[in-house]
Amino acid sequence: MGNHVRHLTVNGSALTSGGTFHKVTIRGDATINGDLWCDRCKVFGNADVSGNIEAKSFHIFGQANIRGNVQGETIKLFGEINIRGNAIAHDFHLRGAAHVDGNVTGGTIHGYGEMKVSRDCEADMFSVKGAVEIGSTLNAERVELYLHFADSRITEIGGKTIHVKRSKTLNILHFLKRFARDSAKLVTETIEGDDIYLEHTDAKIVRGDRIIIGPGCNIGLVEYHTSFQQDEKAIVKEKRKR
Amino acid sequence: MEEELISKKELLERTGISYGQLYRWKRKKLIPEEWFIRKSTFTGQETFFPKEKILARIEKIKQMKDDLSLDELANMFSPNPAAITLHRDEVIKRNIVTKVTMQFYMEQKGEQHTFSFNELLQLYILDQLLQTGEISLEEGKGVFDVFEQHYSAFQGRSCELLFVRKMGISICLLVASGNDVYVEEKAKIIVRLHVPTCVEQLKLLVSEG
Repeated sequence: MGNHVRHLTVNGSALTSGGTFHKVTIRGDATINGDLWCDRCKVFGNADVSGNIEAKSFHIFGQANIRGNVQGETIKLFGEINIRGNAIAHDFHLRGAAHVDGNVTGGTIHGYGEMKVSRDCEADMFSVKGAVEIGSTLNAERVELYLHFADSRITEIGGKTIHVKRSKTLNILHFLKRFARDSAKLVTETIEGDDIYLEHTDAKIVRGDRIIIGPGCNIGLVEYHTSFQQDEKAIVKEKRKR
Repeated sequence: MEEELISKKELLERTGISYGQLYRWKRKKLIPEEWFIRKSTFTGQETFFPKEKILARIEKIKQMKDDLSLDELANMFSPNPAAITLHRDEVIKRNIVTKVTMQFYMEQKGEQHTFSFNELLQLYILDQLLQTGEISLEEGKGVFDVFEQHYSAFQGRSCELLFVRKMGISICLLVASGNDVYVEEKAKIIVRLHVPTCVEQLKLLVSEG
């Protein structure tokens, strides 16, 4: 984005319009009416943006509400973000909660916390520890899901390697029953991939090449190609080799 | 237009590709979203594809994936114009467009030596239409006009080129894909051309050189 010398700095509370900037720093509370283009955007506190954001790097320490789309090379989130539109990022770093009403497209999506996407989520690598809800399809080359705290719901998962595990730390925190129901599981309709390993997953159909069904699973139908293994603590109603 | 569909499972069996590949190609936009047709069957939700299109597409991807990267392939299949320009002589020499069409273009728009992808596309489409004998040179002006003024409005969405004729008078239209078109009794749709298919063919022609 070249050498825009203009910076936008908010210390305290402000209502301002969008525009093109080099650096945007918000310490406090800002309401931005309009679209925002910048190289770097940092929010320490709270930001409400009524338009779209396009930033090379977008860091949030606190909270951000965006009415439009968010596009960035890196998005780092320590806190909470609500996006009404779509989110596109090369690297999406999650520490907290992200809620997206549209689609999420990313190279790498990783971190821990809560992620809710109303529509599709696509990435090369999707590795999240915590609770994930995806309204439509999660499509990633590699999916790593560490179930933690709350149930995850994903309508459809597709990819090459799909690993779903219950996070180990759950056992250590077992006494904290208030926070951790001991039933953090994944509920899904369909899982399709080449290499699939599942734990604590409820699925109607699992299809793939090499499938391992681990403990705590409840699967309606498994269709496998090369190999199939099943844990003794798993329920598989029907399995077919094709 | 009822198309024959193929289920995902059958598709994988017939083509020998894996789920991982299919999802990767979808993610990289090698297979358009609109081809994924969800239907509920007695086993729950199933995904279907338009049979002919998807089989042809997968065949093409399999052929070319060793020579081109996935991103290059995606560019080829996307309805967006390629970022190239070609010289007039080369266009003729490589048989992308016939001389007659080229000359007609020059008559309409003046002398020109290099052509952008969008200009080539107009030429290519007109050339195709003329060669099948469906429209006359004179009617070809309509193609240029409608493309010049309205093609940019589609911005990467797929569209169709329609030619409607009634009592010897023809009208050229650009319509967003997948819409039903009905015409009055005496009029007739003479041409219905899927523009992204042409874009794809042209990209192939251009990149082969």
